[in-house]
Amino acid sequence: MGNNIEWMRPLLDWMRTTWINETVLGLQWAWPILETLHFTGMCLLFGPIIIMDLRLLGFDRLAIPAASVHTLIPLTVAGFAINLFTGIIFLFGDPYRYAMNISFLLKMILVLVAGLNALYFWLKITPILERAGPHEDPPLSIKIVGLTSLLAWTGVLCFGRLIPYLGTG
Amino acid sequence: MGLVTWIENSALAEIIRVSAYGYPIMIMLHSLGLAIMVGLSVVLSLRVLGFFSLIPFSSLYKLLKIAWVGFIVNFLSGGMLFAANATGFIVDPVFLTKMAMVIIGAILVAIMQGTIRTAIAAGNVQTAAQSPNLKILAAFTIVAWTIGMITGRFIAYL
Repeated sequence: MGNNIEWMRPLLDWMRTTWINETVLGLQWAWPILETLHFTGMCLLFGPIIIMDLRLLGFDRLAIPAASVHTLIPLTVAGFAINLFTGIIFLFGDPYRYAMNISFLLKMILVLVAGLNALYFWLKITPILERAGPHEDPPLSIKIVGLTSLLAWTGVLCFGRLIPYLGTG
Repeated sequence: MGLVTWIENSALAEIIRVSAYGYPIMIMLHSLGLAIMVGLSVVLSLRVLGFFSLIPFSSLYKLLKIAWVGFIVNFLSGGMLFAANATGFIVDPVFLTKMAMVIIGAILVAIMQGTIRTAIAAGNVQTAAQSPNLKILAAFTIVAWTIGMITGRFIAYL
């Protein structure tokens, strides 16, 4: 599959002229340090996601109150924020590489899916959880949100790690 | 060195080196396993340090099974990755540091898990969780996994 990136060239070329690009390519250890931070953000996001999504799927509902799912959200936001920040820097550091990479495209699509799912959770599910009893078996809609989140973020992780190896690498 | 050389010359190691899929699949599984193990270990450690108090220790205790699955995935995928360049890794200080940190991190998680199990059985989880010793273990767990992650990433660069 050849990505038609002609329409992106002005943007990609501009990105290569920025100070972000110059800095990240100029500092010898910038890239591996950013990658390490990206992995850290990934862990801060993924741990809570496992716990929260399993609870939404009904795991240990008799012990974990429904409301406690929210308590881990700040950690996921912190993890996501680190990865958004480092991710944007990566993009500016090598824009053509990512623009042409199918694994990166799939990863971003799944980030979008996970994000929309989280938005839906925040707007629609949170009120349901607050109204529901703390230990009720979650309705199907909530379970679907939990499963979508788990699968989407797992996909993000997998496609992210495969970026150097799929397609144009 | 004989064992290490034998490992590197094994058929399995050759698959990782030669096949287009072998290395990427192993490295992907390794990232997944680390996200699970480190992610859950960090949440557990932060819980011991007093955060997220709405989540019962008994629940985190049950979830540690998943963390150990992640650890096993990384033991196996890591073993494959190691085998592909065994003689190189075995003398690499960055790799060896990572291994030390992983072992320490795993031991600390196991100790916390055991402490929590005992406390649940004795019915005094809340008191046990206040223990300064346990909190120190939790802090060191975070440190160990963090250094493990940093050195893990830097194996490829140093």
